[in-house]
Amino acid sequence: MLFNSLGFIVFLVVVLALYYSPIKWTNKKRILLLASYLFYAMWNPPLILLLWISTVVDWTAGNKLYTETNERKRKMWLYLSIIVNLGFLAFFKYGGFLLENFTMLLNAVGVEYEAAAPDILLPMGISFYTFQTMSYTIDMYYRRNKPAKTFLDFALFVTFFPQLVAGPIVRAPELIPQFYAPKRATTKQFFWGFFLLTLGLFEKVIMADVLLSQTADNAFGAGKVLHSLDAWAGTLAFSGQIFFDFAGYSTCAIGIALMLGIILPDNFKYPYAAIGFSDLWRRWHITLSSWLRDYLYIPLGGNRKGPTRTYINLALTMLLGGLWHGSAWTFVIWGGLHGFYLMVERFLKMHITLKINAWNGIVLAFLTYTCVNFTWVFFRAEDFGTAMDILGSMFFMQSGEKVVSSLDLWITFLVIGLLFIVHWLMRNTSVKAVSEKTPWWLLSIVWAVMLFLLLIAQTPGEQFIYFQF
Amino acid sequence: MNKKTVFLALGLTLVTLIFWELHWRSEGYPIAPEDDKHLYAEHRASIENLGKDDVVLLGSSRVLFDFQLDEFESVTGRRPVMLAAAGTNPIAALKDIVENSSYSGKIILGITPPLYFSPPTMDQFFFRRAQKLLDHYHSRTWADRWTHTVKKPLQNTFAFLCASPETFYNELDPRTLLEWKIQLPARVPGEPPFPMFQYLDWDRNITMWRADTDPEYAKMVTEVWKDAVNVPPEALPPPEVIEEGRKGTIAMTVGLVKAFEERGGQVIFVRCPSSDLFLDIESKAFPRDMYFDQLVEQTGSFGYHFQDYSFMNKYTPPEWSHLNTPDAKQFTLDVAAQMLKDGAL
Repeated sequence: MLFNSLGFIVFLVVVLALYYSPIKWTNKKRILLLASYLFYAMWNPPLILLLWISTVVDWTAGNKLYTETNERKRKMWLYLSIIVNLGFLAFFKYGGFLLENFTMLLNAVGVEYEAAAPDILLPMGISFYTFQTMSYTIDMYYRRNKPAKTFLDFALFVTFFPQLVAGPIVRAPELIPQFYAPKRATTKQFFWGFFLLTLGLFEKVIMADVLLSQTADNAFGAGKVLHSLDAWAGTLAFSGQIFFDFAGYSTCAIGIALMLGIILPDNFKYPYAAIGFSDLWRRWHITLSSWLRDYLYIPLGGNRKGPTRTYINLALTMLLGGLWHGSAWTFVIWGGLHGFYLMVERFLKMHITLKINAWNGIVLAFLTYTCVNFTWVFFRAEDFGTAMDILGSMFFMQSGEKVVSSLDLWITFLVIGLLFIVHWLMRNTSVKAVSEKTPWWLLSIVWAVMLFLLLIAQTPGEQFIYFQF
Repeated sequence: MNKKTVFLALGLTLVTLIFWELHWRSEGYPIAPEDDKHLYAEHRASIENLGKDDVVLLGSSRVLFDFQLDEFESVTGRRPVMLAAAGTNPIAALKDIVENSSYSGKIILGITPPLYFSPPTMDQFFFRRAQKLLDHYHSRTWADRWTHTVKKPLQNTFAFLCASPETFYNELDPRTLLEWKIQLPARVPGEPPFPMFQYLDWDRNITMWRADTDPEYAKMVTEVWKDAVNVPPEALPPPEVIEEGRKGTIAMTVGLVKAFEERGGQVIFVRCPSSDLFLDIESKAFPRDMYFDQLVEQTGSFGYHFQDYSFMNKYTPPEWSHLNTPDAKQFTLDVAAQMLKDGAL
């Protein structure tokens, strides 16, 4: 079910009504769990089986890892969890990609082989819930965590509907203990959650879908060499679209959970004001980057094994991070570019000392944002050729056709300019802090404008971009 | 966040929304459902339960406008299912019904030559539009169905929800309003504004709106038609490709009709009226003896061309392509009666 659909709003109202009815806490949790399964099954009922298998396997493995003392058996339980979870991911998400590359490899060495095109449906949000549930068993293996007290608490941790299909990716200690005692949002929390839901939907529906998506679609779907201005407009529009789309989803998820009295971690902190790429990854999709840091980069050795291994570890982590997003080489290149940026930054930091102030800070943030845009080209382009064409036009190496209207050019440059300025101004603060300093009537007007625009925006309910990952 | 912030925000939203709704009602906009993929899928799904005597209407916008369901039902005793869709090549729907359904009743298939004889491939606008509707029917989720169901009461209440979900044809959403209100020097070729000139009900029965009573409004629509048919000669395919396409479409239709007839179904072809620039182009580029007549002859089906019947050619479409609703009602009564008389229904 999509947050930006009337069906979801009705679903949420019913869930809230049941949740705040005078029933036992355990029954409320059961209602939340059933609602979460319903939320997922409304998209494709049979694929709920995958969620159940992941839940049962990781619940069992987690308990065994906690009680088992034989290290060899503990390893076996860990491997079982990883194989099941990554196996689902490999089959459903990377099956076609692996087969395609295997075929290409055989053809390259002269073996005639043509595989039937696989018809595999990608289960929505599989990358998110797989990583979330894997973190539980890995933490249990390293004895960093205790098992959930009940199966219900664990199942709810895996399936909690606000963040099930597109994060934030939550760790067990952040969420499971919140299910132990009865939870009820305070009035202030409930209203703030409602505000965040409005803000998230506004980001998705108005900013991403109404204002920016058309420019990005026109540029990346043109199928021809573009005029430089159009290539830049398309890329900048996509940088805004993907931010508003994904940050919008996370904001909705955090808001909905808060309306239930559950606190989810932040996933975005004004990433386009990042100074450098390590700063960017502390601000963009925070829960994924911290997951990759804790479960991939650090186990690979992190920065503890000398500069060369550090660079290799950074590159590997980002390449796999790229592949996490999608089964295509363009995503790998996207991850590889980020890995390269991180390596360059690390090298520069070792040799140059620079004191950051407001003046050089905004220049460096702008430079960072510009470099990020080059990576978005690979993220958005359907294939490598399209990406290279767009980049060629962005670097004024070629000039082609105009495909973006005057209005869309104005909208894109205005929205993206404002986005960058707002991110810079908000760099060290939060929406919550700003709202507390804003006169109450002004906050009401801003809220009303967002609600009004959401209600009159007759978009066909576009899916969130990150649902495909 | 305190209560007064929330209440003021909700109050302001309510007040502005009421003004928004009243404004569009004062402009004459009707309370009507969106003609979107969800409504189309609902009707596509309904044909699975129909019998041999039932009728499904396929075609482009001319069938949508010209066939009125109440009148058709009053003559035949059967309410047809309207699966015609504006701006589509209906061969996609015919193929889908023949290959992906068990329906074996009657199909009335409207032929708008420039659309029906456009190549049936996904890189072609008219076919792609049709195929997307059908794809949605086959892939729609329970969440889609649920949202469509709960939206109905709202669409029965608010006029501002009557617009089409398509970006080029949607007057009441912020995006289109921006495009229509802010006029900037053209940087890329654009189309003239495409005004809404119809509304429909939950059975997808259409009523023409404004274009039938306001000549200036009808002119806005004909400006769109002029732009649509203004194809530079160099963009047209060579004659041998056009001929190959004609033969291919006829052969594909014959194959589909035969397959449909083998399981007891029957297809009836209809060519609805057009006038002025449309009729001129259609007559020259798609001469009936080579196109419509060949379809009827090679399939051995019933065919009704508006030029053959006085009760079909006595009308003047206000915007060259579709009948106004009173005319469409009479047109439907007459055509349905003729079909009954001929034993086609």
